[in-house]
Parts: sequence; C-alpha cells; structure tokens
Amino acid sequence: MNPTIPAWWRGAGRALWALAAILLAASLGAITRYAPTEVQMGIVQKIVYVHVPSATMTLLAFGLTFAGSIAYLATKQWAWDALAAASCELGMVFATVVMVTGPLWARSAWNTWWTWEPRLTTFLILWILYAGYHVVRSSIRSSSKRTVSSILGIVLFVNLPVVWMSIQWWRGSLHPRNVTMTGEMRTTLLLSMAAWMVFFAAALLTRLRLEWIREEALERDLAGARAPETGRAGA
Amino acid sequence: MTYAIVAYVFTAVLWIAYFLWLKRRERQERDA
Repeated sequence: MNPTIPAWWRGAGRALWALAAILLAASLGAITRYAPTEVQMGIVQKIVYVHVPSATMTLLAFGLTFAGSIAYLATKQWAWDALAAASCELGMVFATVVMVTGPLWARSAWNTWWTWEPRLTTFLILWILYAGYHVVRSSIRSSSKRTVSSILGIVLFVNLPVVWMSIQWWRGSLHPRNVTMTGEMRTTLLLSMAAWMVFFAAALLTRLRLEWIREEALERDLAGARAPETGRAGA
Repeated sequence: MTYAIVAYVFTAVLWIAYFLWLKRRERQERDA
C-alpha cells in the first residue's frame, strides 16, 4: 500500500473498474445473445466485436502517448512522461490483441492467415516500432530517458495516420473502405467500443500507479544522495 | 466458431497475464 497515492485516485480507479466490468459483461452478453450471426461467415464474424475496439484503443493509446510526449517536452513535468509511457504500454497490449485476432478473422474471411495488404503491413510496422519505444525506454538509465522517450513518442505518431489512411492510399486492400453496420450488430459494436474505452481508462489509472511508485523511489534516491552533501555544507 | 473462441480466450488471457505482470512489477518497485 502506497500512502502517497491520493484516495480519490483509488476511488476513481475502483469506480472505473466496476463500470468496465459491467459494460464488458453486457457487451459479452450482447455478442453471444443479441447480435445476429452473420450469414456468410457465421460465428467467426463476432471476432469483429473485439478486433475493431482493440484497434481503435490502440490508436487512442498511441495518440495519448503523442500528446503526453509533447506536453512533457513543453513542461518537463514527469506526470506527462508517465502518461505517455503508461498509455504506450497499454497500446501495445491492444495492438497485440489486434495482431492475433486479425489473422483468426482473415483465415475465415480471406482464406489466409496473413497477407501483405496495406492495413496489415502498416499495422505490423506500427507494432514493431512501438515495441522499439519500450526497448529504448527500458534500456536508458540516465536522466535523458524521458526526453528520448518523448521524442520517440512524437516521431512514431507519424505511423498512425499511415495505418488509418492505408486503405485509401494503396490499392489491394482487403479491409473494406466503408463499413456500414446496422441494427443489432451496430448496437453491439458500439457497446463493445464503450466497454473497451472504459476498460482502457481504468487500466490507464492502474498502470499510472506504477509510474507514481517509480517517481517516488527516484525522489527518495535523489533526496538520499543530496543529504550527505547538505550535511557537509552545514558542517 | 473455434476461431472466435480462440480470439476471445486469447484476449482474456493476455490481459490477465498483463495485469499479473503489472502487479509483480509494483511489488518489486515497493520492495526495492
């Protein structure tokens, strides 16, 4: 138990987790009982209710990393860097879900696990590059860690519009350019989207706690290093 | 149908594994 993490933070976290649990349960209920089974693909089509929200949350998470990185470079406040790093880590988990559920869908819809079509290729590049963000961040021990991470968080953001626009910019995309979902399918997708968004917010608060603990440990170390100097100066 | 079940089970297992890893890191940081 960390005493310095404020009570409202814990309260907000618990409330968000409770709401996420309710929404995820409702969305699972809608996926299994409410949404109709697609005529051509059958039950495999229901992968869309986890694949699409996860892809959206990936872009949102990396977008937050971009915003947090800019804010850190502008203000030099550790909390912005913490937001960027925490959001990026969650974005990686969402992206991994996308990378696994996508081929499961593709095997059934396109009769192949993988194809080098624009959306898949650009998303794979995105996944690899953001994995690089974590490798670089965890390998730097010096004080430049936050600055380097922030620069990366800004530079890598270039990939997001590329992934988003890939199906417009390049030919040969198997992903549809316009998806029109109606009725129960649309309602279920929107519910799933809302559930994963609240889940993301709750997970972000939980993940930020680790950054908070790390910052405190860092401040303790710095205070410990300064103490002997202060002692000498006073002597 | 199997693919859909694999997709949902994988998603659940991945997130559970992630939060267990997160808890472990929190514990390690506090104990350090």
